Amino acid sequence: MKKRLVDFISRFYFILIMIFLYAPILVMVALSFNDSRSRVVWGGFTLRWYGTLFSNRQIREALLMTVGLALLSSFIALIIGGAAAFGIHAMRRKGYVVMMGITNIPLLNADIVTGISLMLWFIRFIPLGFNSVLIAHVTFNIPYIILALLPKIEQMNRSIYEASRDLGASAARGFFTMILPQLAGGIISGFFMAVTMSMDDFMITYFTKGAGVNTLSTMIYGEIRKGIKPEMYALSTVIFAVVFVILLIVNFSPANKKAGNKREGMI
Amino acid sequence: MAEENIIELRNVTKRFEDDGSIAVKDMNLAVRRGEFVTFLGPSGCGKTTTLRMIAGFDTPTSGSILLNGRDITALPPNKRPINTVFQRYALFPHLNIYDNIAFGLKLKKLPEDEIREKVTRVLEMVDMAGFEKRNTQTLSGGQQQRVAIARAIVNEPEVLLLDEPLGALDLKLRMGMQRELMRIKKEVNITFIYVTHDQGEALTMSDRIIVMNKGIIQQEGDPVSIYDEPQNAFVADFIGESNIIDGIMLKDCLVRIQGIDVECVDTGFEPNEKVDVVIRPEDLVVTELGAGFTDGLVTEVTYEGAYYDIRVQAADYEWHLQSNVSAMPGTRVGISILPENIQIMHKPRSSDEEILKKD
Ligand SMILES: Nc1ncnc2c1ncn2[C@@H]1O[C@H](COP(=O)(O)OP(=O)(O)OP(=O)(O)O)[C@@H](O)[C@H]1O
Ligand SMILES: [Mg+2]
Repeated sequence: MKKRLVDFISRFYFILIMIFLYAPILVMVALSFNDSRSRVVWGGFTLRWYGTLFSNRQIREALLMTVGLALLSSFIALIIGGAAAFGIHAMRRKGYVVMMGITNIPLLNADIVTGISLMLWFIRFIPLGFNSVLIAHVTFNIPYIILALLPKIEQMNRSIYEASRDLGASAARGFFTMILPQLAGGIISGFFMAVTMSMDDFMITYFTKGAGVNTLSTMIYGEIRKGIKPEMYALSTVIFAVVFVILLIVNFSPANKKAGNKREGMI
Repeated sequence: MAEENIIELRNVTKRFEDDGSIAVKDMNLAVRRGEFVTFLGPSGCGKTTTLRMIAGFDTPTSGSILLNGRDITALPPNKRPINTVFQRYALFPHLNIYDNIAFGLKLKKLPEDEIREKVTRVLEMVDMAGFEKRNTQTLSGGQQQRVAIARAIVNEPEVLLLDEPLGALDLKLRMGMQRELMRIKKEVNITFIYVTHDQGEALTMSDRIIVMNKGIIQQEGDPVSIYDEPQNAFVADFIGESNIIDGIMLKDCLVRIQGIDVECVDTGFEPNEKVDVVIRPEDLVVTELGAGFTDGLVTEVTYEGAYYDIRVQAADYEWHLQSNVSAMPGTRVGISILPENIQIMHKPRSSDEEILKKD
């Protein structure tokens, strides 16, 4: 009897949480299909807003910018963060702790602080524009790469790399054939995590972008100040769907399953 | 040409940065072509480190390594005609047995049919014919071991390094593989440098044994001389079991142990020099009371299959005997020894020598 009550309460609580988290998103998704400009009247189902969305040049450019920026910054971060992860792995206890602290700070730091400080830094040295946003995104993406790769590096079997060297493989060949495949899971999840974070970012982009550079989030912000248009619901729905799918891929990718480890600290 | 040195270590020292401790200290060593040399020593004495420096995975902090008289200290592992059988096999999990073994040959860009022929031959040699398509994970430990050996020797290296290759196998399998390895050694005629902490294994297989402790060579020699004439108490204690007891060398061929004068065959000590007396348990004989050099109380008798393991307390020392006749615990017996079975050793003098002693 008592157990049932506890069961009921915990289930109720769970549903409550889900409602608070996802109901607003569902409302937005619904409004994006609403054939009425009103936010309270259901005017029937339409794909009209999606149509205008994709025929709008400004939006298309922002979309391209967002995706391009996300992919490019994540790729650069992958190279830098990957090298950093190997370096941290090779460090002694003290250096390791210090480096992991340094890695974690940008994650915990308020975006607005990161954004403003990067902006102050950039305006001193380079003109604000695509380059400055790219550098900013690379900067905040690096920690995600390190956090995804480091556990894989720690678990990896080094001896097969040495065996390949022993049998005549060059350092590069040994790395690409023996080490990289073992890190594939970490590389994929780190990369997609970085892509997600980059696409998700508003604050840092807002402060470090120059005039004429717009990602979807900064563009939506600019548009909404002029008044909310239903196209924005459609756009937000698309973004939500893409992020959702990426997270699904990251969390259920076979590489992660095989390692059998729970994703710690992924979201 | 037969006596030429294939591998030479000259004043090789390896210090690891993190704690500054020395893993290998000023080692000098020459390995002759075709020899079966074994590094023997307790865990952490620097055997693997030495092997890794010869293979090229670790660089000596100082000193040089020569292959056929040529300095290879800075040569990366893939440029050395040396192959390794790793302690944990290190087979490539994503390749099948055939591709594992063919790995080195493919890198050498040998023609496909020559590779196939060599792989087949080496698989026969390690008694694994027909396993080509199998996955490494489906093999038993002994089979994985054979594949690891095949993968190394198929490249016909000048030197084969083996790091405790039989360490993970059970006793029976280990004995079988020891014989197998010696047979393979004969067939391929490659120089073997072998690492083990199992003295029985070292004594069975090697042409020459290098006994190491704390990064320093304690003694090198053929198995018989290592066993019969250990040069210090560490070697005596590590190779087989030994009674090691304090003594005073009264004059040539006479040593005083626990106040008893015992005849021996050793000469060349200072008069009244304090020495270590080393006696193998199997050289001590249980006799009637008063018939040996000392008497004692039998405290413990265990049957070990091939012999009885007997402890006899005499004054402040507990003698360790191995005998094929038993004794009654609680009775008093005599212990006798032939003079030539007594080993006399100098006591360590300097602190450097002190570490040669067992700790
Ligand atoms: N990469 C390393 N970094 C720091 N110290 C090391 C490293 N590798 C080995 N050592 C140290 O060097 C010493 C010798 O180690 P080594 O692995 O050569 O011993 P071993 O004789 O092979 O022992 P075992 O029989 O246990 O394999 C040990 O004290 C070990 O802790
Ligand atoms: Mg070792």
